Amino acid sequence: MEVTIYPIKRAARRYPAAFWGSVGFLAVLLTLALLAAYLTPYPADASGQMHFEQKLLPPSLRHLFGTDSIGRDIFTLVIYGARLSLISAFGVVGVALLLGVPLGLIAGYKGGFTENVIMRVCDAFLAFPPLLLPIIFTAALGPSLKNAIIAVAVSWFPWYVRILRAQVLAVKQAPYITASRAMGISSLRILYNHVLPNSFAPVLVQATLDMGYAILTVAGLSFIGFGARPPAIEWGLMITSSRATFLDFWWTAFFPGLALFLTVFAFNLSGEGLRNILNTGDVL
Amino acid sequence: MGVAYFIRRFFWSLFVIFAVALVAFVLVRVLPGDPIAAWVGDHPTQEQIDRARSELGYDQPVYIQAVKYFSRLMRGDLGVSLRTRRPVWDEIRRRFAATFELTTFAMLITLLLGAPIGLAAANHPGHWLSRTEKALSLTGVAIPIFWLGMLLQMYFSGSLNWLPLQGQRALPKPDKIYSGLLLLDTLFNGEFDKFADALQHILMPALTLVAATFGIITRTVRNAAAQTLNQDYIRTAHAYGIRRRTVLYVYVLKNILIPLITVSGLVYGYLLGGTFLVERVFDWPGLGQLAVLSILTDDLPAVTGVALVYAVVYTFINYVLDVIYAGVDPRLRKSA
Amino acid sequence: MTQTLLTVEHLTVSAGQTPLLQNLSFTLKKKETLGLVGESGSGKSMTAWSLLGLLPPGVFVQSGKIIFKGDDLRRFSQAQWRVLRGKGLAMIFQNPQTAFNPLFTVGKQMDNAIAAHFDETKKTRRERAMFYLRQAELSDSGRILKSYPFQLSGGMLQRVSIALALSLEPELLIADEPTTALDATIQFQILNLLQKLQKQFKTAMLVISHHFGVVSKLCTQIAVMYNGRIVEAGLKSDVLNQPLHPYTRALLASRPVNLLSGQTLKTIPGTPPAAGTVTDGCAFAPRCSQRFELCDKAVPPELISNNRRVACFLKPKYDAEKITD
Repeated sequence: MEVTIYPIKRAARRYPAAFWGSVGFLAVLLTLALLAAYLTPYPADASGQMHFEQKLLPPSLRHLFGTDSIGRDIFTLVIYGARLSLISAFGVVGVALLLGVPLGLIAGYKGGFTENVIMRVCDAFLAFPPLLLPIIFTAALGPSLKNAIIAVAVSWFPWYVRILRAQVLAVKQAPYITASRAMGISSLRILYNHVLPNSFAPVLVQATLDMGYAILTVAGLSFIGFGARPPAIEWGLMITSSRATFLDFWWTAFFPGLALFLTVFAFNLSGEGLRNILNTGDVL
Repeated sequence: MGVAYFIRRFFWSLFVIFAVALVAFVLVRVLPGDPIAAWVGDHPTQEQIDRARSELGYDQPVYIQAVKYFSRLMRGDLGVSLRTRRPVWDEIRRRFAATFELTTFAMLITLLLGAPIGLAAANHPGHWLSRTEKALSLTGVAIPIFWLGMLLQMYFSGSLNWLPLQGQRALPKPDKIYSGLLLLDTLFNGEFDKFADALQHILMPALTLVAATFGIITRTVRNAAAQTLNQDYIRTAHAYGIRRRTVLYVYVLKNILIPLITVSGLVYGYLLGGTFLVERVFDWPGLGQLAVLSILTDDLPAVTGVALVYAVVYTFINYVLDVIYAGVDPRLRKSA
Repeated sequence: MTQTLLTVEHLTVSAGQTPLLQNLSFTLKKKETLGLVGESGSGKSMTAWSLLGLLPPGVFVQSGKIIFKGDDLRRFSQAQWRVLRGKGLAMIFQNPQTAFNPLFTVGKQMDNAIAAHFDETKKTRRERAMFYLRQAELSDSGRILKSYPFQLSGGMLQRVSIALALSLEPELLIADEPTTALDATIQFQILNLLQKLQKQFKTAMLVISHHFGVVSKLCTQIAVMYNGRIVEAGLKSDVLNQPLHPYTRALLASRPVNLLSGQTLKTIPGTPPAAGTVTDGCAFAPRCSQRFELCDKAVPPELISNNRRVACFLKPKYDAEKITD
C-alpha cells in the first residue's frame, strides 16, 4: 500500500540492524522451509528414515546439530519443522483475522445491542487464562496440528475484534466523518475508505507479533501432546521426544528449542520494528 | 458510584464463571472420547454399559443433564473422576495448593525483581542496566517456556547437580498442615531441612515462569515511570524543594502502581497458562498436570472441574486487583 | 533601606547550540514586584525555571550569573537547591490541574512541601496549611485538605497553589502565567488575591505573563521580552504611558481596548521568531515600522538611564522628541 512504502524507506535508514536483521532471518527461514527438500543435507530423514547406527551423535561437520535417538539428522529435522511452524503462524493469524476483523467492524459500526453482545462474548473469551482455552478446544476437537491451529485462532480472535472496534470508534468520532456523512456518503464507503486503511497499521503490527506467539503456543500444545503428533516433524514435538535423552545428549532438545526461540524473536523484532515505523501505539 | 462499581464487577465475575461452566459443559459433550468406555473399561457387557450410562446420568435428555450439572456445581460438587473413581474435588484440592504456591511464588519474584529494575531503568536511560533490561525482556517473551525449563534442568541439575530434577519435594510431608503451601508449612513447623528441600525443588520451575513474564513487568514499570517523570506534578514537587527520594519513592511509585496492577492480572494469567507446560517439564503435582492427564484419559468431569477452577482463580485474582486499583486511584472511588 | 534580593547578570541559557535566553539582566529588591511580558518563545518561562535550577534536560546555563541573597546559584549543589526551592523562591504554576499529583490529596501534597522546609509537628504543619488556605480565601480549609485535585475547580486549585507557595514563607514568589488557564471571571478574583497577599506578606514577586493587564495590576515594574532578551524595562507607569521600544508600542497599541465599532484592530505584521533564533541585527527589525540600516547589522545595546532601559537604536532619537501617544 502506497501509504506505507514511504515510511518503510525512512525506517530503513533509522532502524537498520534489528528490523532488517529479523526480517532477513524470516525470509531465510521461509526459503529454507519451502525448499527444504533441496537445501537440507539428509532430506530422507524427514520421511521416517531410521539409522540406528548413527543415533545420538553430537554436533559435527557431518551433522551440524547432531542426530536424535533414531539417528536422524537434527539439522534437517529442524528445517523441516519450520514448515509446520510457519503454517501454524499463518494459519492461526489468518483464521483469527478472518473471524475478528468482520466482527470488530460490525461491533463498532452497528453499536448498540449488537456491539454489546459481541463485546461481552469477547470479554468472556479473554477472561480465560491463556492456553486454557486452546487446551480445551484441542481436547474437544481431538489432538492434531490442524485442530491446534483452529483452537488457538478461535481463542485469540477476540483481540482483533477489540482492535477493529476501537478503530471504528476512533474514526466514527472524527470530525471529518461527520462531515462526510453530512454530505451523504454511505456508511459502507466510509468503512472502506477510512476505517480499513487506518486499521491496517495496528492490525499488521499485532498480527506480526501474534505470529510469533502462535508458533510458541502451538509448539507448547504439541509439547504436551495436544498438537502435532508423530510422525509429523514439529519443533515442540521434537522437544518432547527428547525428554528421554536430553540430559545426556543436550543437542536433542537444544536445537529445536533454539529454532523456536529465534523464530519467535525475529517475529517480535519485526513486529516492534513495524510498530515504530508505522508509528502506532497500542490501540485497545 | 464507588460501591456500585464493585457490585457490578462482582456480578460480572460470576457471569464469567457461569459462562466458563457452560462452555465446559458443552465442550465436554462434544469430546470425541467416550466417557462410558472410560468408566467401564475393556469388553463391557451391554448391561454394564446401560448401568454406567444411567449412573453417569447420560441417559437423561440434555437439558435435564444441564440443570443437574449446574445445581451440583452450586453445591460445589464437581462430580467423580472417571480415572480415579474419586470425587474430582478431592483431587483438585490436593493439587491446587501446589499450583497456587508455584504461581504465587513466581509472581512475587517477578514483581520484586522486575519493579525495581524497571524503576532504575527509567531513572537512568542509556545506562547498561536499562539496555540489559531491554534485551532481557525482549528475550524473555520469545523463549519457549518448556525449552527454558529443560535448559535449566540440563544445567543446574544435570551438569552442576545443584538442584533436584523434578517434583515438589523429596522429603516427607510436613508434620502439621496449616496452609497447604509447602514452603509456609515447613517454616511454621520449624522443619528447616524440609523447607530447604521444598525451596530447592520450587526454584527451577519458578524461575522458568519468572523468565517468561519478567520482561512484561520491567517494560511496564519502565514505561510508566518514564511517563510519570515527565509529568508537570513531578516538576512542581521538585520546585517546592521536596527531596528527590521522596519524589521518587512516594510520588512516582504510587503513580506507576496503576499500570502495574493492571498488567499484574495479565501476568498472573500467563503464569497460570504456563503451569500446563512447566508442571509437565518438572513433574510438578499441580492442576496443570491434572488437566493434561485428564484430557489424555478422556476424564471429562475432571477436565471440566480443572477448567472451572482455573477460570475461578483467574477471575478472582483480577477482581482483587480491581479492588486494589480502586484503592490506589481515587478517581474511581469518588463520584467525580 | 531595601536590599537586593535577586540579581540576574548577562544570563544566557541555551539548548545545545540555540540560545533561549540571551544576555538577560535584571534585579529585584525585597518587596519589589516585577512583571515579565512577552509572547510565546520570548523566553519568559525559561527565565523562571532558570531561577529554580529546573531547566529541562538538554537546556543549561551557558554564561552569566544568578545571585540570590548573595549566593551564586550557578554554583549550587543539589542539596543547596533543595533547601532554596520553595523557601527562598517559590513558584505558582500556570496549570493548577496538572501541577498536582492526581493520586494524592491536596493536603498531603501541601504537607510534603511544608515538611521539606519546616521541622514542625504534624499538627503544626496542618495548622500552617490551614492558615494559608484561609488567607487565600478558602474558608473550608479542612475539607480542602482532604480533597483530591480532581474534586476542586481550577480557581480553587490555583488558590491552593498560592496558599502552598506562601505557606513556605518565600522571599520571592514567581507567578508563571497564574491566570492564563482559568476562566475569565476567576482570573480577576485570582489577580485580586495575589495583589492582596503580596501586600500582606510583603513578598517580592516576579510575574510572568503575555498579558499587560495582569502585569500592570500586580507589578510596579515591567520588563518586556522579545526573542530571549529584555527589550525594554522600567517603572510600570513609564513603560505603559511612554513606551520607548517599537515592540512595546506596537504591543500596547494592539490591545483591543477603547475601540469604536468599525475600527480595525492594529496588529503587528509578521510573526515572532521561534525560540532560540539567532539574528545578526535586532530581532524585531523585520517587523518594525521604524527600522533603518543599522537595525539589521548589529544587536542594539541596552541603554540605561534613571531605571529606564531600552535596547533600540532609536533611543537617542526619542530623547530629542516628546512622546505624546
